[in-house]
Amino acid sequence: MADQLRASQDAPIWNAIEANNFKQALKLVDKRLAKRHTEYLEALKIYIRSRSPQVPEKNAVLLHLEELPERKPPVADIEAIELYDEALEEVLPKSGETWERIIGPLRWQCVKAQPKNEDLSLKCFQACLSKGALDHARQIANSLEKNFPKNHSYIFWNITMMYLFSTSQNCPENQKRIWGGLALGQIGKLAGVTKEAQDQKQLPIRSVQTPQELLLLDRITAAYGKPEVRLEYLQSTQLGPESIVAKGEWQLWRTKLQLMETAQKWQELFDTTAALLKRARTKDDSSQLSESQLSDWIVWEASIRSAVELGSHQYKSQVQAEIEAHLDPASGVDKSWRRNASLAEVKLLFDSSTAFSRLQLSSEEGNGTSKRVAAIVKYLRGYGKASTAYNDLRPFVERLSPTERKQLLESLKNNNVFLDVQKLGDGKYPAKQDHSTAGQITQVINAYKLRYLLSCALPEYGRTQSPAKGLVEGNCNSCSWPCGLVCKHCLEDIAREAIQSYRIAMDDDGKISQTLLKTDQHPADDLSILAAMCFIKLSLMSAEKETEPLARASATYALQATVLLESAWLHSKHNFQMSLLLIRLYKYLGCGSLAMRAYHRLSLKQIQLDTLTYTIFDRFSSLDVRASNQTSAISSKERTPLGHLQEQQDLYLSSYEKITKNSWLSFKHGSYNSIFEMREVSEKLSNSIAAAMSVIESRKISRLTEPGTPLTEISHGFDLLPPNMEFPESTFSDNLDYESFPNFETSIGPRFEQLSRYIPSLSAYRCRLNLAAEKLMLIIDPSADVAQEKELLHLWLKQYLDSQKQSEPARAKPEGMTRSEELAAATYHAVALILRASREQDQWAETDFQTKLNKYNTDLLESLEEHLALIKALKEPVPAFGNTLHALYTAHEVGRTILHFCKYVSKQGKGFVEKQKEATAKIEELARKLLQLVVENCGVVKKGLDEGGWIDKVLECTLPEAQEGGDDRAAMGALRELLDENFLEEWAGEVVESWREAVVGLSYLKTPPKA
Amino acid sequence: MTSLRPFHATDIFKFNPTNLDPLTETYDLNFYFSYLARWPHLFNVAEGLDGTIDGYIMGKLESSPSYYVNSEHYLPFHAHITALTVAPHARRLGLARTLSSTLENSGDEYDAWFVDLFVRKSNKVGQALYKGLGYKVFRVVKEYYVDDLSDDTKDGEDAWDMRKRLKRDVSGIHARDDGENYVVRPEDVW
Repeated sequence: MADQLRASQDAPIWNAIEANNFKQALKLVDKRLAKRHTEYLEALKIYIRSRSPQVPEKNAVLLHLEELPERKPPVADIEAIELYDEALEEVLPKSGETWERIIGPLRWQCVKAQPKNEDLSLKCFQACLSKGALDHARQIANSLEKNFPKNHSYIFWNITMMYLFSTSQNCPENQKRIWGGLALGQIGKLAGVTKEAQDQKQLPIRSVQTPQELLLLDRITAAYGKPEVRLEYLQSTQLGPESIVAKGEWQLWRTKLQLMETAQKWQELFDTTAALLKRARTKDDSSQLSESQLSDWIVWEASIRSAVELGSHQYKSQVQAEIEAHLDPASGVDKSWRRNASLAEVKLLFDSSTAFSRLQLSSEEGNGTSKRVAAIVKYLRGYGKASTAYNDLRPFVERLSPTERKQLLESLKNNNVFLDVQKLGDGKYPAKQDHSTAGQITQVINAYKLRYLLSCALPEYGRTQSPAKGLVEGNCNSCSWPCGLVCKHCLEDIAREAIQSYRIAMDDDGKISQTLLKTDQHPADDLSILAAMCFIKLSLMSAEKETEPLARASATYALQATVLLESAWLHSKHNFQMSLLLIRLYKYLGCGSLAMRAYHRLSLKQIQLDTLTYTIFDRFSSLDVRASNQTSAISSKERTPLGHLQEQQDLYLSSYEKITKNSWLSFKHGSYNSIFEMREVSEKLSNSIAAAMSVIESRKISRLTEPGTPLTEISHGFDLLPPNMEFPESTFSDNLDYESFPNFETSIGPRFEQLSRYIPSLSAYRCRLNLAAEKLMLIIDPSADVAQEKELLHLWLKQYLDSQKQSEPARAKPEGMTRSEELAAATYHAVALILRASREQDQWAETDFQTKLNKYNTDLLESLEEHLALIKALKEPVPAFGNTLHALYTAHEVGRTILHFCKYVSKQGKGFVEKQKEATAKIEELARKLLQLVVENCGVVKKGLDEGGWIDKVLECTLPEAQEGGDDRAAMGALRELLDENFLEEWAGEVVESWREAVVGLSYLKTPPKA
Repeated sequence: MTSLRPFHATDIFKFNPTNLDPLTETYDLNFYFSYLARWPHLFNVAEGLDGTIDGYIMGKLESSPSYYVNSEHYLPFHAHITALTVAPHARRLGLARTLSSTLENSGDEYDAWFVDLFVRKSNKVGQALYKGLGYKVFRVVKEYYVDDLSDDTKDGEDAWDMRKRLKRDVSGIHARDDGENYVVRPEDVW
């Protein structure tokens, strides 16, 4: 009734607010206040004032809000507090810290005043949680527990909040252990009650009762308790994985086995795993293997580890017997669990060959195949028709001795690994590989991958680990030809044979392809991918002696990889690994539009925009710049890079709210574990390196495509990053997905994604420098004249340079930078120092000031000279590959920034301008020269591509005519046989067209006219 | 090798090997996290030797709202497979069976009547898989999906609502042998 009355009285005020008639709304509220002063009306007045567009009014509102937490008695009307909450959001959107300082205490005080009001407490708890005001949320949870003692959930909410607060950045260091210790103590008591309870089905309210509560107990004990206590809980029948409370929560088993292993309780571990494995293959009353999950790989691993540690042969025999029982065809064990037993057999042999060496005959002696090679072959025969066989076996193949590796390689080369299953009717072994079914194709692929591992990946890794790394010259152990770090002949061999095999697989009159759905991948895909990977490695190892891009061997191999993948993609349009490789190749080749085409094939969305956009958009602003065509109706494929980056930034903007909303849901459903996990995701997204990349790239593109816009107006998500991410102590979260790239390299060395980088990868170091450069550009931006903002930026600059000084060693290791970027960074650093000097008015008169300034200017001039030399070295820039475009765009940005800098310093204090004048003139001259050179080079690129004959040149470079006496092992012949001539020409045309499209972006690179 | 574990929230950064496949939808964070918040024990991952996500299952346990109880489309307490996906590289290893049996076990543990799921009419591989696992078509939902992955020219695609009885349904009161003949509209499906 009271609410209705208030609503009817307020209606005219709200109508005025909705009509944006704030003057009228204020008049009405003042009239009401004059009659009767209430907390609500006062808050409503503040809210109305917060909606005012005038800055002084907003500042006044903020001042008023700041005073509220100190008010006595505190505000008790929750609706008033909610209005203050909204007012703060109006004047200071997304102000987590301020919210915690102002609204957090208000909400907590309100709960404290009415502790029995459960709805109010829950509302305030949820609000504090969503704003990250964890201390206040903790206080409210504590109040809920105390005031509603019959509610089991609130006990755990309070514990969760204490622990969550103890692990948060906002918790003072000296309080972390206090809150963590309290959480541990309280949950420990509850665990004790469960342990002592007579009836596990009728537990008292204050006890651990659910699997999620057990997981919380384990998490808190892991953080603040002792490992032995943690294990003790898991070993108890009331709190362990077999307890009634656990309801079969599998994670508890995983943790228990891991803790037993860490505690080196080998006998206990062996007995436990033996029992689990036996249960896994034991049928229940209804003849079902209802516990088959207990033969999880981690159980086998733990069993083998404990058997090995115990050392006696009886344990090994017992594991072996268990393996055999699982593999017994009559056991009824499902194939995924049988596979575990088969792999366990391999592992047992490998692990025990050292542990039981005294008991076992030497495997390499005698005249037969080594036992370990035989075990690998046996597994391959059993599971070679599945792609995972390679991944399963890789760690074991890596452990083979050189002699064993040779044995296995010979078997693979002679194609007799699948002998038993492929034996022909007449008893003769097949001379050729069988490609008649998808399974057989996968077998062939697995064999090639293993050959690649044995003859390329493992020897390469071994050579990179040698002390004489980089100077390795000698004969390859696999092919006996001379080789360096990478063996060209072995790579060519594998590529050639893989292509030949791929051609056979595809030439089946549609037998396989017709059975595939449009969305399926072709089973032979990995053959083309493997060959392309070999080409990419060959491309990266080739020395760049010729200056003309298409005369380089590296270009030939890159084009071969590209055309092979494009051809394979026609038969398998959803193979994302092909698309990922194509993006990388096209970026290297300078074909931005084709890289975008490959990117669109991935159809990325949602969280994938954080993990995979780096594949294309890192450095996209120096590859292929287009103006934005962003409209709401545009499809993903039509979207410009800027549109894509905006879409990515929207993900970050919306993620926090989604995560906090679900944290609340987790509380409601008692899913405590997910609260901590979601919090981790939230932190990872807040500090995402991909978010920084997105902001940097979109700002760079906008500067070129919207040159008249003041930089201060080009937001492009700059505000979505945490403050001061450019400072050395800031940490970026690397959520990037490197693992979706194909990888047939060793499991101990770098992945193929890393080995195939044509340019340095996205790094925190580069992001920090770029973000700092962005702020530097704001200072000198001629189009913005916001004096107050510039003052703040100068203050930032001083702090930034001080932080650089303090972390000098970190600066000594530049990561992820091209030469162009290194030079740009050196230039911007000198600019920053000069700008700071321009504000050190008190030092201008000092004797060493000029010396200091001269040093900065000399450094700046040197970096510009070097940049000039770098661009001059681009003698034959046609067609412009990625590195050429990157050099031109980067040099242009440096040149343009320097011109802005010169203009800016010329307007500084007279005393400073005098000292800087001469140097500024030289700097400007050099910057103009640099820009001029960039423009000339762009002209050369454009003119060059206007000429005809490029398609022929691309074709010639991709598949050069074989020379007399040429290498008959080269893969080129196999590639030529595979590719259709029409397809080849069409593709070459697309490449040339993409180069021409990239020229459009170069038109943005202009020299600004002299003032 | 096969190893199961609960899905962690941070797995969203790692699930591309499954989610880059066109038949696996990538939803917004809300979707995954609401399942983690409500049914964490029904959201499990199969991982490979190097920690790669080979597949995962998202499930829930629920019934239609009580106001729906007199409707012929009312669903009693049951388990539902919201998503079951296996990465292309990990197919033909029996992982789908392994993952779905984890949900069936949970369904039995919580006394559910059946497990159900939706599969695209064009997804013959999926249908064959589920039939092999003991699922039967219960009804056909006309144009349940707004797009048709197998035919760009079509706007929508039918779904098969497939079911597998759990221990509670001893006499099969919630199962059908000729479900292909029962056609319902998307709005009939809760």
